[in-house]
Amino acid sequence: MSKSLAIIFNKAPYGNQSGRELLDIALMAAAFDMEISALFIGDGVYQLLTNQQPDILHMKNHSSTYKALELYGIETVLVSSEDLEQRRLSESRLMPVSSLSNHKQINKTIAESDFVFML
Amino acid sequence: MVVRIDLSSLPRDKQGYLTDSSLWNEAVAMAISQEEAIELTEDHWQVINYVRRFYEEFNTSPSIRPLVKYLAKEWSKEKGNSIYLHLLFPDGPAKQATKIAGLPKPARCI
Amino acid sequence: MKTLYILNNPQLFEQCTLAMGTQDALLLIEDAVVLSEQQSSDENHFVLEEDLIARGLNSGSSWNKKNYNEFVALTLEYNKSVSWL
Repeated sequence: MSKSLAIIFNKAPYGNQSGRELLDIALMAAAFDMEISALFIGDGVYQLLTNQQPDILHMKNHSSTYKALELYGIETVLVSSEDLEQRRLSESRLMPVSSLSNHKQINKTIAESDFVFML
Repeated sequence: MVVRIDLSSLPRDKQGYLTDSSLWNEAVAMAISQEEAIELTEDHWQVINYVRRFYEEFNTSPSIRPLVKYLAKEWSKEKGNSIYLHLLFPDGPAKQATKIAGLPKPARCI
Repeated sequence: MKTLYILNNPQLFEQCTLAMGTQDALLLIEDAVVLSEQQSSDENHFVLEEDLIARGLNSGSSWNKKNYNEFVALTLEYNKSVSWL
């Protein structure tokens, strides 16, 4: 049976490289046929905002790579509705790549995964 | 009329991938494909163009699985499969098509 | 004596604002710009525009925006700057 991996995004993009590095891990693990979930909690929900333009900071825009998750076979992409609400964000401001979820469901996914990554 | 390109004048990494994808054009593709011992047919060009589109859309070079899915969806169900792609690019479709398309090597190419 | 507080860590908003006096101002930069959608604005509250644009947050914030040049002018307007990291 294939191993499962939960990747937790919990920081906003561009202040550090964690979003981009976690994405690399996700896409690499996908090549090994692992069962992967990408989970967006806390300030990690900002990773999914539309209209990011980091070129203004001379940084590479990794946000469009989130749209490729499905092509890499990563279908469990969950975002915490509580954390969105706390940040006054509506789902309409996010790229259409994730499903709205909640802490309870996300915690369950983490508990059921063989490996968990967060940077 | 074929324009000959001197590949040694282009910045490339050790494995022959262009380090600046904006320097790519069709003449560069032909020169790299010669190195790879591939004669480019219409279907090769289709794959190369879709690989470049993938990179523009997702800001990453595709590995084989997402490339197959993408081609099946965007191009052709019959041709977007790994057997056909291996016939076109015998050393590995993701590896060779991205090189000829002037893109970085897919980080997770195994 | 007025001080410009420059905050880049969204976790430290309360700690930073507690340290501020009435004449002081706050500028959010880098990851802390997300706070400009969560906290109410104030005339002494500023946010770096380039960092908002980079993150797709430019339209949602009601805070006073400063671009890089205005950021420099702002540091000159205050007696000193404190970077809250």
